[in-house]
Amino acid sequence: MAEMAKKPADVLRKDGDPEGAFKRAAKVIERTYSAPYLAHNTMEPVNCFAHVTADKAEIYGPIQAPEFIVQTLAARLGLPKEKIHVKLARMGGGFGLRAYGHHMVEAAVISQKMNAPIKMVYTREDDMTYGIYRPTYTATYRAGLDENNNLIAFHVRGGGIPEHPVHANRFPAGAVDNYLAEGWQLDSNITIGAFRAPRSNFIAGAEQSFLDEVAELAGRDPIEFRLELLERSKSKPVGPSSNDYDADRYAGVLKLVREKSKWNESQPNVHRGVSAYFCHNTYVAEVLDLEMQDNKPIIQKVYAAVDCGIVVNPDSAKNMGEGGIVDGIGNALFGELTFVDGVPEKNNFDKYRLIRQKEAPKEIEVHFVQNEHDPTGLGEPLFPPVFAAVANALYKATGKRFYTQPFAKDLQVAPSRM
Amino acid sequence: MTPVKTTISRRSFIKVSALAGGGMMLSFSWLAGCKPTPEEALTLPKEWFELNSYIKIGENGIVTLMAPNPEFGSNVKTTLPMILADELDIDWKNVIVEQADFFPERFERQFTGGSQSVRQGWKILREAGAIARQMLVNAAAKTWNVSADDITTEAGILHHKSSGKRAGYGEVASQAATLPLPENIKLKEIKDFTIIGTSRKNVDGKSIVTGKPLFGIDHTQEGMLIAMIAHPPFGMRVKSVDDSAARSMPGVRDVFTIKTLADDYERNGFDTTAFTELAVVVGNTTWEVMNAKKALKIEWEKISDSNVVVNGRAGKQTVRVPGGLEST
Amino acid sequence: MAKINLDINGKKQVVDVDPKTPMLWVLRDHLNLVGTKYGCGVAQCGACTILLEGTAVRSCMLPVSQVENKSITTIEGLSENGDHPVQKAWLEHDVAQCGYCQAGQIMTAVALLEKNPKPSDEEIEAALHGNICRCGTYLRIKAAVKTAAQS
Repeated sequence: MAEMAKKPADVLRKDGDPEGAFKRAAKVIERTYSAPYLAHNTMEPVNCFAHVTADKAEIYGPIQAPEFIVQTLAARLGLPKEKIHVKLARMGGGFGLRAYGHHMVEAAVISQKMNAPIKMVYTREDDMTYGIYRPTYTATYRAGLDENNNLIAFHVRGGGIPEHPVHANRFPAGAVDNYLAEGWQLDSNITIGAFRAPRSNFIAGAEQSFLDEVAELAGRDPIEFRLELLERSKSKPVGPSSNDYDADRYAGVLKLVREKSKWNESQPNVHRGVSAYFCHNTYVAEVLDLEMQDNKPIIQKVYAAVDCGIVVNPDSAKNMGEGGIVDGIGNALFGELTFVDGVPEKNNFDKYRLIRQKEAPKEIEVHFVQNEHDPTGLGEPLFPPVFAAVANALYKATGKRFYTQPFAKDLQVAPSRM
Repeated sequence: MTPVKTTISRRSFIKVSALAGGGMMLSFSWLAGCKPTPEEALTLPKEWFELNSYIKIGENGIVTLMAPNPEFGSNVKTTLPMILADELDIDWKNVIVEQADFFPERFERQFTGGSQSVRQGWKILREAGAIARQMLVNAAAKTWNVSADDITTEAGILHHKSSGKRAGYGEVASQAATLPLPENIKLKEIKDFTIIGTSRKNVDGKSIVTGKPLFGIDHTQEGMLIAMIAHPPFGMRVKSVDDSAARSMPGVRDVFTIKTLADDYERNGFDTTAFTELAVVVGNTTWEVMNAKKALKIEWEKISDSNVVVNGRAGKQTVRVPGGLEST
Repeated sequence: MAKINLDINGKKQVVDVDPKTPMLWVLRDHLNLVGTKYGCGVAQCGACTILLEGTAVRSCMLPVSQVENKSITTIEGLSENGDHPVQKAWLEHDVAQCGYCQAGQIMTAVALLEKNPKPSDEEIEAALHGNICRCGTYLRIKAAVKTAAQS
């Protein structure tokens, strides 16, 4: 992948004259971020009940996207779609894994062959080694500042196996005169799929870690720096492409998290990182406070500010937010699946480390912007920005930037088992 | 209230009875064990009157709301029916939520993912609730011989101010169910929401904390066998399976290989490109099948480069699946 | 196969199974008590937690032969109507997201509170560290245990 990162990539968006601007920049900073494959690890292993008879199929199991699997089942079983009944089981977690219905086809084919009702169950090992992973990604960022520390050039070049992680029209696109976004990808027989906030789940962490470093190079407060860029995207929008985000709502969550976290007040031994991201139609800003104890990060508190329009079920919405934050911290610190000769090196929870009770933040506050916009979702948006909030807080705590997930490797944190 | 024309697809308003004649199988009695039980002890009505795909009202005013999207933990089974309930203008304590089956003839959108359930369900569910409410208002107007515009609703009660007439939804539900779909409905102003914006607990909460069979893996029925699969490493496929040890183990019914997708099958965006050939063990109980699976001796062989056609969101594409055993 | 006498949720039962069968599968496949969940099969996730003589144990690696005539409590045996104080606290905090791990979390919490009715935050965290929640409901779990401890 390191080799590929140097080869030509597809230009996804180009504004102004990025190379010219980098040449005349007073300061240029370049950083590369990377993250491994991740397994979904839903607590309920993949399973499905099927009873296929000559004229109909009864299917009951976990599925996020029943519409698509009914097409596949109809083709494979040779039955009309209306003779395939899919009952929707409560799922023991989804996270994108259950958009894919291979298990339903497997169960149906087995039932057809046995001419009996069957329940197919994956062992945890089958589940973890089956594929449909979050892709492995990398992204190299470059930023150029002029002599007044204004951001005049920005370049992101992202790649992955088998898809790149770049969302070309997202922030800071539109706020920088000279902007270039590129993507490259490599084929693989290791299968990937949707994983909580596809692509954003990597690129948010990379981008927001990089902006933290750029803000530092520019001598600015990281929240102020972002707000200034957002203001520029409104007052002097760059580029013919429309941006994906609404600068006012984006700024709104940054201001709200600044207020709620009392960003400008420091506490002894508490190291803070900030991050903000817009994806899946919802705006999120997060501030994460951690303390180091025996070279181990103890996350004391996370503040989140969220703009998802009208909040339909507030306590439930908070629950989703808390979960996204905990999940993000866990994957940032520990999440990793590696391969040797096509075999995943981890196949169960004794090897694949998931976040546990002691490692969760001691406190999480989720605040919602009050407005009357039509509601947007919360299953994903709080997840992607946490990666950078962790990295930026770890930098404050250790003086070291974290570029490669999982971060616990660089911290050499031993699993705290019972 | 904001007057609007109904815009959502008419499929929500096709009645079960209409479909039943069309050959749709509507009885899911094979999973009778999955029928909802009210979280609180509600008195179930003697009869349900269906106003549309999402809403049934009993003669006693108890309401069943369908949760269209599959639930994976984001609480859409609770939150989406709240949107219906608010526009229907009922008391949440009289609601039973039922998980819908996949039924595209009746439900507009049954996909959970991409954080889109509430966003894309919002308009559909508000309208479905408001349409049912309007049908109840129209039924009361007919019964009382007054103008529908003069009838207000609150928490499941219809009220005609000048005559002082009142009726619960259950009292007019049977008549409402026979009325045509109203073309003009009124959506609530945001300030008038009584359920949206208030915290409502997970409708499956009690079943979860008492260990009820809610999940696919919990399902059992008469004559059901257990199956497990064995898949190869990435870049390989099944060459041969020596099942001699496994076959003689207790509880084992059969061992075989399956092919889940034909080679020339045009995949959709949610079909995977790996492991279409699998070894399978079928037996009586999970533990027995698990042990027999461990006793399989499977030989794998490397795959060579291949192409598969995927017709996904980005249109039809040929995806190269390289051979080779990859390491990271 | 062997006939084994079991005492589950106060009810004496006999099962005829391979004595090596883990208690998890005896509960789920033979007795249709499916509240106890399969998560990993290697005693790492806690989804299969039950009480053996009041102590929280992982049933996925516990051979049925070892529990003969010993008192076992599963999630189904905590209360008739979900009104055990720990269950009530779980509902009050609306802890669950997907809900799959929660039976194991609840059983671990029940065992903790039996031995230590007023646990500190650190004691709660230590006791529940073996139970994975992939949805990340750890804060609500901890809050619910505290509520249950006060009741």
